[in-house]
Amino acid sequence: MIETRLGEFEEVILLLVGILGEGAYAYRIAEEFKGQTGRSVSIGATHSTLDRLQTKGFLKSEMGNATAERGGRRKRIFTITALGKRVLRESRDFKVSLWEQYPAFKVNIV
Amino acid sequence: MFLREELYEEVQGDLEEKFYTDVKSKSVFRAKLNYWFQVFNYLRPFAFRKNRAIHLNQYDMFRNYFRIASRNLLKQKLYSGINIGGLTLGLTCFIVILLYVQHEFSYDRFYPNINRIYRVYQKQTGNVFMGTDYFAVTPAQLAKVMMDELPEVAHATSVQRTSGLLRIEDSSYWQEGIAADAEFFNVFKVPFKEGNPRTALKDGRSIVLTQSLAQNIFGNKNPIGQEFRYQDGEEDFTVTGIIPDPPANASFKYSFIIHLLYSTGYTEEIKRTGWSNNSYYTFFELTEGADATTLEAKFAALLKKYQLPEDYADYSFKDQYFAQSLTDAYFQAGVNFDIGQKGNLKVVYAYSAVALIVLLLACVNYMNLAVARSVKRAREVGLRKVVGAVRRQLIAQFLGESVLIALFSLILAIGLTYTILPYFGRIVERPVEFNLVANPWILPALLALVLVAGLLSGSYPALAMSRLKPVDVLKAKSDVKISGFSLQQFLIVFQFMASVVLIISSVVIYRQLNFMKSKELGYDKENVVTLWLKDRSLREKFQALATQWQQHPGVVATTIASSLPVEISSSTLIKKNPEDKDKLAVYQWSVGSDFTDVFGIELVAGRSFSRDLKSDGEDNFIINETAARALGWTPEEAVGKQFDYNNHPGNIIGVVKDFHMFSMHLPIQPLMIRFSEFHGRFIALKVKPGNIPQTLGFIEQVFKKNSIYPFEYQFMSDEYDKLYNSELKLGEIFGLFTVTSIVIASLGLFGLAAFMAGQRTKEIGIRKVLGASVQNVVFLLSKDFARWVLIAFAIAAPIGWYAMHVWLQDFAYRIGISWWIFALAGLSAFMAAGISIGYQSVKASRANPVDSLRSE
Repeated sequence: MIETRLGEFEEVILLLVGILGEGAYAYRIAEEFKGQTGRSVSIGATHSTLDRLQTKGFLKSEMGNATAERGGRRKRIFTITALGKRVLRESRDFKVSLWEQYPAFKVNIV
Repeated sequence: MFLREELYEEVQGDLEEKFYTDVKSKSVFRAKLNYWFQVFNYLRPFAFRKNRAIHLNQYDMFRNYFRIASRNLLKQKLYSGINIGGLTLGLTCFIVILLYVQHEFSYDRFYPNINRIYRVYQKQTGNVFMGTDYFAVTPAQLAKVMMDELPEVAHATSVQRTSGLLRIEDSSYWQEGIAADAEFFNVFKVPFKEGNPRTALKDGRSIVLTQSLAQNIFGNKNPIGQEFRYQDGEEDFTVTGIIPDPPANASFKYSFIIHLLYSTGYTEEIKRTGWSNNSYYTFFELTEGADATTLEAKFAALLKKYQLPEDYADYSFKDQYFAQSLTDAYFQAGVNFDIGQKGNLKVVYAYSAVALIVLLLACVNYMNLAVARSVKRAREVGLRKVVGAVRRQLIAQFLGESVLIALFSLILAIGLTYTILPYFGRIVERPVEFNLVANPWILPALLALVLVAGLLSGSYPALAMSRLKPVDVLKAKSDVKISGFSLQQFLIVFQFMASVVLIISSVVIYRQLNFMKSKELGYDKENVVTLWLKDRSLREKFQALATQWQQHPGVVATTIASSLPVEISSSTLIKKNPEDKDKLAVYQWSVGSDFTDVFGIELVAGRSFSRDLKSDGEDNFIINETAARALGWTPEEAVGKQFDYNNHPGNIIGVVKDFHMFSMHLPIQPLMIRFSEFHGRFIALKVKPGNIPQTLGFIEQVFKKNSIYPFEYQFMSDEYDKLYNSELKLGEIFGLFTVTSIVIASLGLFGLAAFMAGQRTKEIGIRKVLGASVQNVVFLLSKDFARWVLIAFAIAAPIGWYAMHVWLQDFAYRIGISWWIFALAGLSAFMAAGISIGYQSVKASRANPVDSLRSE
């Protein structure tokens, strides 16, 4: 059975893929992850998560262009699928609803 | 590269891009390091190349091997049963003995510094006592002198065994323990649960308890700092440490350790300068890298220095000290007053040899049956060859099959081992354990063994079978002769030879045991209740106790003695005349009056001791016939004569008939009996055979009134049996092995006979048609087997005779090996063979010839 829920790391990666758009390939995503969160992550770990998200159907991928700095090798570009977007939205809505139920923070949320 | 192919390009691209970015910002080395870090981070399940199951053509072939093997096993249930059963038995024997041997060699190895723990023992050349002139005991001062004067010695400790009563408030506990000086825990590095090993025995008022004893006494209370009284003393001993219980493979065990200074004997002894009192065990730790032999060489100088000439003026022996590692000490037999449990290397080797033989028998069996059976599979081999099997494959197939069978037997054998191990452990009196977790090497070792056993037993059939020519096997109808018939004969001869040797050994051991049990001992061991005197104060109260006991009609006579007549263990020197140079070593035995009545010892001349004569307690003695002879008198002459004992005249008032004062291993020695109740260590009561429990109740009742010590008794006959414990065990084990080996050999023969009869059905049919009777045919079939068993017997008889002859040399009183033992062994081997063959031959010869010939 394929797990269809989203983990925290998975969610961030999925969002990053969305943010990077055309430039979303493993190395880039790993760098972006470090830039955005300050936590460093290996390419391997990122790649395995991407692979997993793809199996879950949240991402799709195709081979992109080659560039000189990678010794002429092509990169695999990931893009979010419709399902991926929906899962992201659901995840956000769910959290927002939780936030709204938390009285102490209610004021700050809009 | 481990990567999945489709990932290859992108990943390498990513990694390289990362690398070049890094090179710009960091050093090349850091970048490279990071590159490899990233590579290793790709070692994730998703990225691995998937190993596709490669479908080999051979796969079907292997499956076919398995199928054929299992079909063969199931089709011939009898053979398979015999095969697997025999191998299982052999393996079980082997595993059990392996575990036993492993246990024997594990003694004391739990001490972290075991390679450096040694003990000192000595040889007093010529001072033969109980058959040996080696002694385990040394002077009290030795430990300290060794530490001070020998650089090779890191720590040395004096140790004594002690057993006594620990008293706390109103309760008291009888325990076996060790008395040792402060260095004990420096030599024997025991992990303390509570307390500090350095200070635990610092002063003479400290005691260290084992965990279970502390638990037993204090429950969950903290035992540290609690106070005890020891024996009937009035001084308090403080608990200063808790240590774990000695493990099962500790050669000496104890439940507490008390400082040696508790005993006044030791306190005075260490103050003395000379070395003349050997009562303490000395253990020491060698410094790292030191050599025990160089140390041993220095003992002579120490002896010269500390053995004061005045103490040794009258001493005709030469003392010699030896250092021995603790692990060797465990196997050292024949040292007087030795401490702790002892292993017997001879027994270990004997068991190992027998276990190996039994295993070999089982393998031989397998080989035999496999060769026999293989004829039926000749056509399979032929066909396989025609289809294209090469010889190597066939060998692999047959070897594989036998390894599989062996593996299967191993599983059964492991199960069987678990079942019989407790029983075996009781026989050998060792807590042998089958613990795969604690001994991780056992399982691989067994697997290796099975592999070897399987290969060994499968090798011959595999080689013979694979050599068959397909043309021969497929052309002829059935008459395939496998060469190697002589090998089969040899194997059977070997099996029966081993069985006959084992039968002879068992019978001789059993007969010797019986002989020792029933031999006229010179005293009566039946119906004597003995109490070992834990409470020394009872010596003074003995008279009063005896009077009370005598009031009971069930008590015939009461006495007190320094030891039981079963084993008299004290000796001294006397002279015939005061001016003589030559001394006579005699054993001495201190007894109370009535000892002749209690022990049923017969006086041949003179009288026994009387309590009313004061002189009897001083210099009147009774001697035994051997002593009289050694002094040059007949028993009658001896009475009234004098001898010199410690420069005092000793009067002989009586002579007792010789009795066996040691086990049958040792001859009867000169004995001097003195009247001294004060030296008593045992109270012995002769009771009437009827209603012993009631008498015992009365004895206990009187005892309890006079002593705070627990009441424990032994029957003297049991004490006597204890002397032959090891022989008894040996007998039992050999009996077991004998039965096993006969069963295996018979199984093998049974299977082989069945096969041979099957091979010759047509011949038998024709013979019967031509007029042979059933008897003729049975004779025809059995005569070959009978001849083999005879040959086996002829080889085995001298081997058995020699082995048992050597074994019997250990006994001063022994049976002769009479011819009928061989006859019995031969006959039983013959019978076993006869039964196994007989059934098959009768079955074959009674078959209707029509059935076997119809198909022609």
